[in-house]
Amino acid sequence: MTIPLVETVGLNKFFKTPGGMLHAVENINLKIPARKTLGVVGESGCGKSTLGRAILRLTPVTSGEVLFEGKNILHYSRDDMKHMYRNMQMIFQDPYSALDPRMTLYNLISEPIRELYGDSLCQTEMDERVHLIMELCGLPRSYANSYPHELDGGRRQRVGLARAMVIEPKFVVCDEPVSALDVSVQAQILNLLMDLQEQRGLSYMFITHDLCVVRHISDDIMVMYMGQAVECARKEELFRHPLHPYTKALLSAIPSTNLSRRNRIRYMPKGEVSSPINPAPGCRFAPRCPYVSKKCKAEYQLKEVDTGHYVACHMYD
Amino acid sequence: MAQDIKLNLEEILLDISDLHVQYNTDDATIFALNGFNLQVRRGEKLGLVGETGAGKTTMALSVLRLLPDKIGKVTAGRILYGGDDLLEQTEAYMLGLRGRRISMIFQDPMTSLNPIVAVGDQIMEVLDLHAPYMSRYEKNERVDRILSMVGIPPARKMEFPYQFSGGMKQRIVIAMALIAEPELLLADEPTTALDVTMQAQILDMMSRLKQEFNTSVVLITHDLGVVAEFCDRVAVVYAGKVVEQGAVEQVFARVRNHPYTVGLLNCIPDLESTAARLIPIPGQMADPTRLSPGCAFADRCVHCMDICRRKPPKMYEQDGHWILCHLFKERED
Ligand SMILES: Nc1ncnc2c1ncn2[C@@H]1O[C@H](COP(=O)(O)OP(=O)(O)OP(=O)(O)O)[C@@H](O)[C@H]1O
Ligand SMILES: Nc1ncnc2c1ncn2[C@@H]1O[C@H](COP(=O)(O)OP(=O)(O)OP(=O)(O)O)[C@@H](O)[C@H]1O
Ligand SMILES: [Mg+2]
Ligand SMILES: [Mg+2]
Repeated sequence: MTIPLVETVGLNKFFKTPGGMLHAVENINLKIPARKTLGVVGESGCGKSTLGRAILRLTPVTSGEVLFEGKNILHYSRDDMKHMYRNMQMIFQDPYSALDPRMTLYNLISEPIRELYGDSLCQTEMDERVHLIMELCGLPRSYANSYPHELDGGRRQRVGLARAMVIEPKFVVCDEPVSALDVSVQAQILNLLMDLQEQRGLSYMFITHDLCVVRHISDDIMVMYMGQAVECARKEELFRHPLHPYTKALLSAIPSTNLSRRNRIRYMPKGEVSSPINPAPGCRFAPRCPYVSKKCKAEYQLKEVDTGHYVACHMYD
Repeated sequence: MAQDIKLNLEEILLDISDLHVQYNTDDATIFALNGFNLQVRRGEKLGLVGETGAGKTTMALSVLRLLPDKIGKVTAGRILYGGDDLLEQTEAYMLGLRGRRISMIFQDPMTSLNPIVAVGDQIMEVLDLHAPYMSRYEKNERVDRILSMVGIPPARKMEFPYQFSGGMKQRIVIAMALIAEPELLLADEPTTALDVTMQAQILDMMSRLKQEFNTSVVLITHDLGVVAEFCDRVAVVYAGKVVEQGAVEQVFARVRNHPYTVGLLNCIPDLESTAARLIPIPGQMADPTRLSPGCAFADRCVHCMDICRRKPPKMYEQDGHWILCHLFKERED
């Protein structure tokens, strides 16, 4: 078996809050092969961004392992990590606050190179790389001296993309890169991400709450609920045979412009959302689950029920 | 009030006609709304869709008279609300309107949240303003109830905005807008950061407001699926103008649409398609500093004709479904 490009083992990230420990990410085990896209979907606040940030060590991890090409990067020193960032990058959720408003596009896009190589690159080399990536990302060269506030949302997101891509990483965490954009620009950016993946053999972890987008771009999909992974499968399989009650609810709630889908049966989870602070053991979805049984409040584990199809639900024991 | 007695669904609550709004900045004049027409009936849910920069937020800010001071200006048009022209009212009148009769959910939740006040207290402040007669105990109950309704455990109400994720902040802002039980809710991209089950739940809550208080909702969104499932009517905005308007059943039947609407419908990934790449609308949004003499969409339109660049299209109407496009004029002649 080949080693996945990125893997997490029992990854936990807890936050200390006034009310107690908040389990933002709990026991996540995922594998992302080279050249593939893992889509991560789930409710807002379920820990998607935190997971992405933890994998890139942009936030301290509570426990567990993050393996890149088989090596646990959580033990890396600051210096080693700096070199790791040549391979791993992130595109942030909010194209508005992620860019320093005082920097020109040229400086914003060349910054990651300067951070990595210092001044060892000569000006012409630098120019070449910046202009090449701007072109790839659909940013006219004439924008090099513009500031982020002079751009619309779509172009700002392209700058975020260019910054992540300029050092030619192997793995990029895309945190809702298109949710702030309108549909036409979203289509352009998604096409661009897929083109770059093809050309450069990239792997993505693609975070979104838009299931149509995730179906379009992913190979595998992981569904999260309140810090936990509840289901993981190849995308066709997941959309055809969703198993976890939360996944089923998600899929039935996808709004569609197809008027004939208007009267479909929608399954809406009811009841109180439990708190991720000092959570009770067991499945987090249990308080809202129509099929809840005693077992659900005790143990929780993601199990392979079909080849490559993992679900954490006692209905499938 | 007399008008409350003969409440009926057809009654128009908000009537915007021929509204022109511009932003005068140091560099340029931006024509944000250019003859914007929109009617919102009592108790109806209207979806407002269109690209970034189309003028959707400007429309909402104009209604609330919250356009940025000195920069934003209404240059022509009328905004009737329950019969009163809002552009003629005093600031005191507007203060009584905002947050009570009309609530707005702003696009960026952080503009409505105070970073140094616990979220529960911020929701409480709305009640203090809206229902000063209520007892402390009752207000607390209401805050807890609305928080659980938007899926935030009430136990977290002592926390500050930075301790919540983006989508959770959005839900807190929604709670603040709904707790006032307004007549008209202007919701600017209220569910963009939410997953579909939470979104469905929030839209349900808005529907319940409608049932209980006959609240009208203007839902600004770029999610056409949400409009198709949640709204009664839809208005499509391009370059500061409503270019198509009709019942959801009419517009999404895809029999006759403005070419821009067709473009929007084509570029979203759907659940059945297996296409490897999406089809964006060609070209860029029209330059808002220059007004075109013809149709603003002409440059991007696959059906563009000679007349489109010269003359503004007239309204083509059928059973309350109307489209601003020369294409249909031609066909009818
Ligand atoms: N700095 C922090 N301090 C305390 N709690 C935090 C912090 N950052 C995140 N959290 C909590 O961790 C949980 C997960 O947050 P996260 O931002 O990862 O969610 P998300 O899935 O990305 O949500 P969204 O879809 O809204 O972006 C939430 O309960 C959030 O309140
Ligand atoms: N404060 C401002 N100063 C100058 N121009 C502005 C200001 N606010 C908006 N504009 C411009 O007015 C036009 C309409 O903007 P508006 O925010 O109403 O669009 P929108 O449809 O809400 O877009 P989005 O989907 O991005 O929210 C745009 O060209 C925008 O750049
Ligand atoms: Mg997030
Ligand atoms: Mg807006």
